[in-house]
Amino acid sequence: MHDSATLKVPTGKLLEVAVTYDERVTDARVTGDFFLEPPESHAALEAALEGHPTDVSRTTLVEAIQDVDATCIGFDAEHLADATLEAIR
Amino acid sequence: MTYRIIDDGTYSEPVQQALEGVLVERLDEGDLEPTLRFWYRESPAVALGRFQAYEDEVAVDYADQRDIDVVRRLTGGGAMYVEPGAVITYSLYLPREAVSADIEASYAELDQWAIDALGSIGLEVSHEPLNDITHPDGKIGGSAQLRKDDAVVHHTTMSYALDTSEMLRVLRIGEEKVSDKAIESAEKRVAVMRDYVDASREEIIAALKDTFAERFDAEPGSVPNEVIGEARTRASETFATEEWNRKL
Repeated sequence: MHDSATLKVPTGKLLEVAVTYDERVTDARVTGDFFLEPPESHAALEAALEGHPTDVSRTTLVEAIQDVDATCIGFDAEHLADATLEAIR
Repeated sequence: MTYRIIDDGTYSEPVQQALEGVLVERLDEGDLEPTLRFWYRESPAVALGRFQAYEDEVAVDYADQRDIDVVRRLTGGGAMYVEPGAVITYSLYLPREAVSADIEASYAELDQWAIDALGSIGLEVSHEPLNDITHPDGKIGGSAQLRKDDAVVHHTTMSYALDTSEMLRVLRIGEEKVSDKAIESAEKRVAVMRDYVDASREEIIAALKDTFAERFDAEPGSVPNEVIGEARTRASETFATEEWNRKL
């Protein structure tokens, strides 16, 4: 299955998460007008969303995102987790 | 610390975006002085944010038909439609230690001299977090940053006299933004300087340079030819390729 969700972060930034999944998330794509330092961490951030079962908890997802060595600017791990969960469910 | 002010050179959008990478790397390696550089473009273009999805942001058929260069930037943020003579873009290349580690604070700090310069010619603008420069009637411009180990580039594009109806044909603003931002309000969200001041674009750039030079130690400079050569190479290898521009 392939689904996506768009989240308008209160700061005004837009976060879009597109996921491909069956029982688990096999592919995740994160796009939007946010900032990320270093920008190269984008791939690791997407990878952090992959491999989880579709009933993954918000806490687990937030932790996986926070484990990535990246500074998210304009959004935080909770926003990304929420957008991902909305896309999956 | 002495800054170079570079106010010359007209390049294509891919070369301009490539220059950002080359110049910030040169500074990072200690081969460039801190610099303020103004941009001059050859043709209308879209500067796409690094993490934006091409087809979400650009009216692809229209942009193709009008031969508008859509170039993915090295920096995050949102898509900007630009036209020669109708926007003012500048870049600041700064040593990392001259920039606040707090990214949100650094946007406000690095925009302040420009906001003051615009204020000096009667434009009522202010910084709006995270990265906007706004007039009471709408957004005048936005900034974006990229950080290297020992260097930061902070670039800002502001609308002087942008054709906002053309902008709405090229960009998919309103289609993509969530419900509260309908297409009618999208045009109103952009404010153009020329509606509020009589100053020409050249006069505004002169005011920016004057304020910068009053506040910081600065002298005129130019982009070394071999840096331009390197940027042209990088443009053809990356910033002019579909592989880079359409990868998201």
